[in-house]
This record gives sequence, C-alpha cells and structure tokens, in this order.
Amino acid sequence: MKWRAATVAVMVVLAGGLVPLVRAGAVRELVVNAYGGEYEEIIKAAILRPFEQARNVRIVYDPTGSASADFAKIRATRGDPGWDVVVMTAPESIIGCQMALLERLSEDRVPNQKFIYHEVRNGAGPCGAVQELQYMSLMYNTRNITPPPTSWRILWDAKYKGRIIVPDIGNILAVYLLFMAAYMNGGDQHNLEPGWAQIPALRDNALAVIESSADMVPYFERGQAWLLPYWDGRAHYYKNRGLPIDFLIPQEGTVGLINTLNVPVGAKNKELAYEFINFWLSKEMQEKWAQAYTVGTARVDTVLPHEHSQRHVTSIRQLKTLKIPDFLYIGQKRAEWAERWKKIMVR
Amino acid sequence: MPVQRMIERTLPRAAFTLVVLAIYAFMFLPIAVVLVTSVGASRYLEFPPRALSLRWYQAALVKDWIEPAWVSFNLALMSAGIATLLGSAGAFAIVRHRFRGRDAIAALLHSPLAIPSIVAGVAIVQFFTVVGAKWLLGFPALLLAHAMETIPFVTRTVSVSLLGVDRTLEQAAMNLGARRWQMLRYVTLPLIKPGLFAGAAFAFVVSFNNVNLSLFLVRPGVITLPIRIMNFLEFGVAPVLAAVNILSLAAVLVVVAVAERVGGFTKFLYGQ
Amino acid sequence: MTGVRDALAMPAATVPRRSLAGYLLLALPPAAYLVIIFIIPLALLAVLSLLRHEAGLIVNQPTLENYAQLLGDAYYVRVIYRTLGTSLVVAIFVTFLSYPVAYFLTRTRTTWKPVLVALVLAPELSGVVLRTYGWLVILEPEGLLNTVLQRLGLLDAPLKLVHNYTAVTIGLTHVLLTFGVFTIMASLQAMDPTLELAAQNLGANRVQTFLRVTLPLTLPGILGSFFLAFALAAGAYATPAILGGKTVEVMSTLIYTQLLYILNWPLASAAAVILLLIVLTTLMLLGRFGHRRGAVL
Repeated sequence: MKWRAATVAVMVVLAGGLVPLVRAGAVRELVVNAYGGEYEEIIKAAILRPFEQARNVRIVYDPTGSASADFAKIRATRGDPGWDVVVMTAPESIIGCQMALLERLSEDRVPNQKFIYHEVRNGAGPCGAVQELQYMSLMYNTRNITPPPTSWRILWDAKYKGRIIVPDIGNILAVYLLFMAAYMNGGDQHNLEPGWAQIPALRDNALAVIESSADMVPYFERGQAWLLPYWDGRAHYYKNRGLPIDFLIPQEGTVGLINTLNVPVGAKNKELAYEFINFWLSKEMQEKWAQAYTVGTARVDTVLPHEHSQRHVTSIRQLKTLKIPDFLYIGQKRAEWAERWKKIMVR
Repeated sequence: MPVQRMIERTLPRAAFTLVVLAIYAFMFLPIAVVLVTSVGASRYLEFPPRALSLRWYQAALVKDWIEPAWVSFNLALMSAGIATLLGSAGAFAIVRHRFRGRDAIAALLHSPLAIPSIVAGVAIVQFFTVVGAKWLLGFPALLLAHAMETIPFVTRTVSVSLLGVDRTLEQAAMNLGARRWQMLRYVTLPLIKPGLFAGAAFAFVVSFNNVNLSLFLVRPGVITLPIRIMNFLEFGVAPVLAAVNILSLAAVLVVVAVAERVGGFTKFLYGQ
Repeated sequence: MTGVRDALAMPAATVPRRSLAGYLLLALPPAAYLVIIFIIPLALLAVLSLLRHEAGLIVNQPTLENYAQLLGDAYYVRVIYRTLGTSLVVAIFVTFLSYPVAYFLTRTRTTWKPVLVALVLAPELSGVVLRTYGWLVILEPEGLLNTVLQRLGLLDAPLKLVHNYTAVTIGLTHVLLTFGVFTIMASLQAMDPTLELAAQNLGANRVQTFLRVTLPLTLPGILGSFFLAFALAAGAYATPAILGGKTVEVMSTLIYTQLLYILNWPLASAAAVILLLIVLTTLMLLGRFGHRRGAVL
C-alpha cells in the first residue's frame, strides 16, 4: 500500500515536471529584433501580440541597437546574431544580402511578397521584405516658419542661418539630401557633382551637423532648430505628441526610404520567421501598422483613411512621385562619399 | 606679528578651499541641470521647468527600469571583483619585479584603455562566433568583457599606491619576524587600500556605464541599464531618462559612501 | 635646504629580489586573461586592416593602403593630430583640477568625508542625459553660461561653446575628473606625511614643502592621472560625438562612423590599430619620464 502510494506520488511529481516541458515544446519561440522606446509599445500592440495569439507562439522581443548596430552584429556573428527576424533599412538589407548573411525572401517563402509594388521590391533587393515605406520630409517649426516652406532651397536660405539641422553622412538622410541637391541643380543620383557644389553653403547655414536621428529632436523641442530633413513617420509621431511642428514634401519632390524585415542565415526558427513576415505583410496588418506607426505601405491593395493616405505613401500615384534610390549604388559609393563629405564638414 | 602670521596661514588655506569649492561646482553644475530637469512636469525636457512634478520618478521606479538596473549592478560588482584580483596581481608584477618583458606586460595590461569600446565589442562577439562560444552571450560574455575593460584601471591605481609604499616598512616587518603573508596583510595591504578602493570604484562605474561593449554582448531578456537607456533614446531624450540618471547616480553614490565609511579606504594612514 | 632634500629622499623602492616564479604567478593570470579576451579578438579584427575595401565590400587581397590612407591623407593626419591635441589638453586639465581636490580629500578630517569622496564619482556616473542635454543647456549661445556672463556685462557677444573642440574639451575634462582625483589620492595616501612635517621643521615654508616634498613624492599619481585621462579621452566616443557635433572629428568618432555606418571595416580597424599604438607609446614615454624621476610608471 505504502509503495503504491509512493509510486503514484513519484509519478504525479514527474508528470507535473513534464507538463511545462511539453508545453515549452509546443509553444514555439520567435526572436524579433527592432527598436526600443515608444516604437516597442507600438510594435507590440499592433503586430507582436496579434501574431502570438493567432499562431500560439511566444515572441521574444529585443529592442537593442539601431539598424546600423544590428547590421554590425549580424556581420560580426557571421549571420547568427541570435534573432530570427530583424528590422533594418534597405541599405543594410542589400549589403547583408550581398555578403550572404541574410536569407532570400522569395514568394514561396513569403507569399504576401507578391502584393508588394515591384518598384519597391526591386529597391529592397531579394533579402528584404518591405513592411513600411517612408520618405524624407521637410520638417519645420510652425511657430517660426510661416507660411509653410515650399522648396528644399529654404535650407540654404541665409534668413534661417543657424536654425537648420543637417544630418551627417552616417545617416542615410544626408545621402538623400545630397541627392535632392543634385536633382535641384541639374544632376541626379548617379551624377552628384551639382549636389556636392551645394554642400559647403549648407554647412555654413547649419546650426549643427548630427549623425543620429534621435539626437536631432532636442534641438527642435527647445526651439533652437526650425528646419530639418526628417522621416515622415517620426515627424508625424512628434507632431502627434504636441510639438509645434509639421512636415511636407517640397515642390521638388523627395526620396523614399524602404524599411525591411530580414532573416539572418543563422536564424533558429526560419519557418516561423517567414510565417511572421508573411503575417506582417498581410493586408490587415499592413493597414494597421501604417496607422499605428504613421508610415506608408508598399502593399497594393491596402485601404487607408484619407487623412492618413494624404500624408504617407500608400498608393502607386504617390509612389511614382518618389525617387527610389539605387541602394546598391549607394552601398558601393558610401565610403567614398563619406570621406568627401567629412572633408567639407569637419573644420 | 601674530596677526600677520595668522593671515599668512589662513589666506592660502582660504584660497585653497575656494579653489576646491570651485572645482566641486564645476563637477556639479551640469548634474544640477539634470536634477532640476528631472522634476519637471512636461513631456519634454525643459530647463527651467515650468511646473514641478515627481511623475518621472514614478515612471522610473518600475520593473522595466529596475530589472536592467539590477543586472547592471550585479555585473558591475562582479566585474569589479574580477578586475581587482587580476589587476592588482598585474600591478605587483610590474612594480615589484624587474624582468625582461616587463614593459610589454605593462603595455598589455593597459591596452584595453586604448581602444574605443565599440571596437572591442565587435571584436569579442566575432571571436566568440569564430571559436564557437556564442552560448556565452548574455551575462557571462558581459562579465568576461567588462572585467577585461576594467583591469587597466585597477592596475594603474594599485601601481600608483605601490610606488608610494616605503619598502623599508615591509623590510622592518620581515625583520621583526613576520611571514610574507603577514607582511602583506598587515603592512602592504593597508598602505595600498586607497589604490585598491580607487581601482575597484573605477571598475564599478566603468562597467555600470558601459554602452558600446554591452551593445554586442547582451541577449534578449538580459539587458543592462545603459543599453535600456540607449534603446529608449531611439525616440529622443525623454524626461524619464533624467529621473533614471539621477536615481542610479544616487544609488551608486550611497553604496560607495557606505563602503568608504565602513571600509575607511581613504583614511590617512601614516598620520593616525 | 640640503636637509629638506635629504628628508624627501625617495623611498628605497623596487628592489629586484623576487623570484621568476613569483613574477610569473602574478603576471600570468591577468596577462593570459587579456590575451584571450582582448588581444586575440582584436587581432582577428585587425587582420581586416590589411585587406582591401572596394565598392562597399572587402576584397581578399592584402594591402597596406588603409594605413597609407590614414597616415598619408592630410585630412586623416589632421584627425590624428586633433585627437592627440585634445587628449593632451584634457589630460593636463584633468590632472591640474584633480590635484587640489585629491589633496583636500586626503587631508580633511570632516565627518562628511565619505560623502565628499563618493561625490567625486558623480561626473563619471552622470550619464547620457547630461551629455546630450545638460551641457547644451549650459553651453549653447542662448544657454546658462552665456546668459549669465552677458548679464554681468562680461561679454558682448555669446561665446561659441558647443559643437567645437572647446565643447569636447570641457565635456571630457568634466567626465574624467573622477579618474584624476582618485588616482592622485591613491598616491597622496601612500605617502608618509611626516616627511612634510620634517621639511617644515627644517625651515621650508608651505609652498616649498609642497613643491619639493609632496609633489615629487606623488609623481606616480600625477603621471597615472595624466595617462588615464589621456587614454580615456583618446578613446571616448559619446562626448566628442554629441558635444562636438559632426563638425568635429577625432579618431574614436571616425572609427565608430566607419564601423557602424559606412561599413568600411578595414579602414576602421586600421584606425583602431593606430590609436592603440599612439596610446601605448604615450604610456612608454611617461614611463621613461617617470623612471628618470625615480617614479616608475
């Protein structure tokens, strides 16, 4: 009798011990790396939790590192940074693809890829799935700049000397600004000389030259800076937070930014990663994400409220007005441009 | 004559005190700005704040900040421990011994100081990948790297202390029949205690503040306070960061002040 | 006066009498640790500095052109000089400002001493908000300092104190004071203060005593503070990047930008190797200087 009770007790304990193991086996885990701060709250509510519920998986979210730091980690770990999915901008995705550090995201892996505008997919390269579209907007202080600016040339206007933030060459915004300076003066992406000629005057008009997008904001918050080329998504976010700012596309047009989801070659749960990316590219999630993070979408069939689609890129008509950069070319030329830029900027 | 004497004695002392006060002011003025900002009520950093509130302290005292702070605290404590052991052994070797290759050893022991820690971070994560030790990422890798980064501080300060120690005191202890460990324990150790304290304190704060080394060595779920702050910074400098700064600063200062009080590390040894 | 000189005679330091075994026992653990956790990883990365970087990718082709670029191009040479210059100035400021505080903390008998000692750690702990925001509020053209100076009538036009080497020097001096004060304290406290009394009894005044007794005896602390501040200033990233803005370039910001943004790892690692050599050379030079003065570094 005693032995039987003991055996049963042992069995119960063992079974109790096994339950969590079995459950841990059943609940799949996915490690997603993106950004921190308030982005973390937005992505968790809009994308991560719905995916966890829909697929009965657990997402481990890693907010550590900017896209550049993420790429450095992927490169240093030979494509095995410990994440299954990582959010990066197209330039990193394309170079990562060239270095064979990222998986190719074909339509059989991510079926929703076929709903993404071809222009954008081509721009992002074979390893990046485009989950959002942004553009370089002209952000301005509404108290000090009236009426709203109409041209990028305002950045060179001596009237606003010392009120302008210029992004540094490490930030892709600087490359875009260089492109616009070239376009405005008879050049283009592959003929930048007319743009380069404008950079010394831009430097002389600047309050500060800053690398990280986050470091630029305090100057705006305190009213020191009034004009800044900035991403539409974040500009909208700060506007919604109550800062006296607005953003627009000047008459000369602007350059688009492609953000991508990527799977490092060393990822542990590739199938689930593809599933997650496909989920994010679905119509429903694209509409939701665009509104949650105030950005554009590259999916053809999304329907968004007028006040949103007015300000962000959501249609082929808007997409056609954007200049889509040749990221492959940027990747090849970046080091050379950086050196030339530094030699102008550094005193 | 006595009056003149008094002036001669007190004037330099007063001037000296003034200089010291001015330097303390230089150390504290910028921190005072952060302190004042941290009690502002606005959603942005404001100086001076238009309305006062402790809401950002409330926002800072939550799990999301306390957990990484606890990781950082433990990490800093353990790396300071390892660095103190290894770094002071190194200091004894380079100060007390004359052998060929001493310069090379001295250079080696100081070399982590000479490299921006972002380079060390990339180098170490790449090394762990190449030798198949990626499983170390997270706390073990952070500990190994932070101890590496902080060894030079201990080596430097303990060397400085050792160089000032009058060797005749040690000789006297040995002559009086002390064993070598007794001499170390009762003569040398008390004399180099300030150097050990300074080195350990440096190691602690350098580890506690490190961003660029940790950036590559953390893994999801185990992040340090500076990394949490850096992630938060992605969306700009928020007032909650000022509160986090002030709280972690105050916590570390209290720990150090108590350690100093209890340990008496910076007592004036010979005179008393 | 010769009496004073006798009284301050150097302690009979560093008698070579220990065994090789004892030396190895002490030197080997830290040396081995640093070789494994630092030197080998760094060497693996530094190999890249000998490879060609072309059109955004590393080409498997040995070359010295990264070093040639850094040491030959006038722009990069200027960056190296600026790094050296800024770090030297910071090291001098730190040491000068740290000495009085260290002296005060060593000699004071106030019960607040533990608090005063702990407070010295504050600059190093003051963190990112100070760096990104606190200094701007103080130093910018419409900031605290310029406003106060202008109200007092000391200035006509605001001084330019942000986004230049002045700002970097101020910021680095502030954050590195911690290291200067504690290092000099370690030296002051190991010194036998009766030597000062002896000098005074022999007729030296305060200033003479300080210059001829205290200062020489604390030379290891002074050199130690100088070296730490120099090395840390040369390697610091956050302060030059934020307070200097991107119109300032030093070795560490160059390395950071190339490593993370421009992705030219060969150039970044060549710059890191050069920086390492600069700092270790400084250590050797200070060691020689100290050795001549009887204070081995």
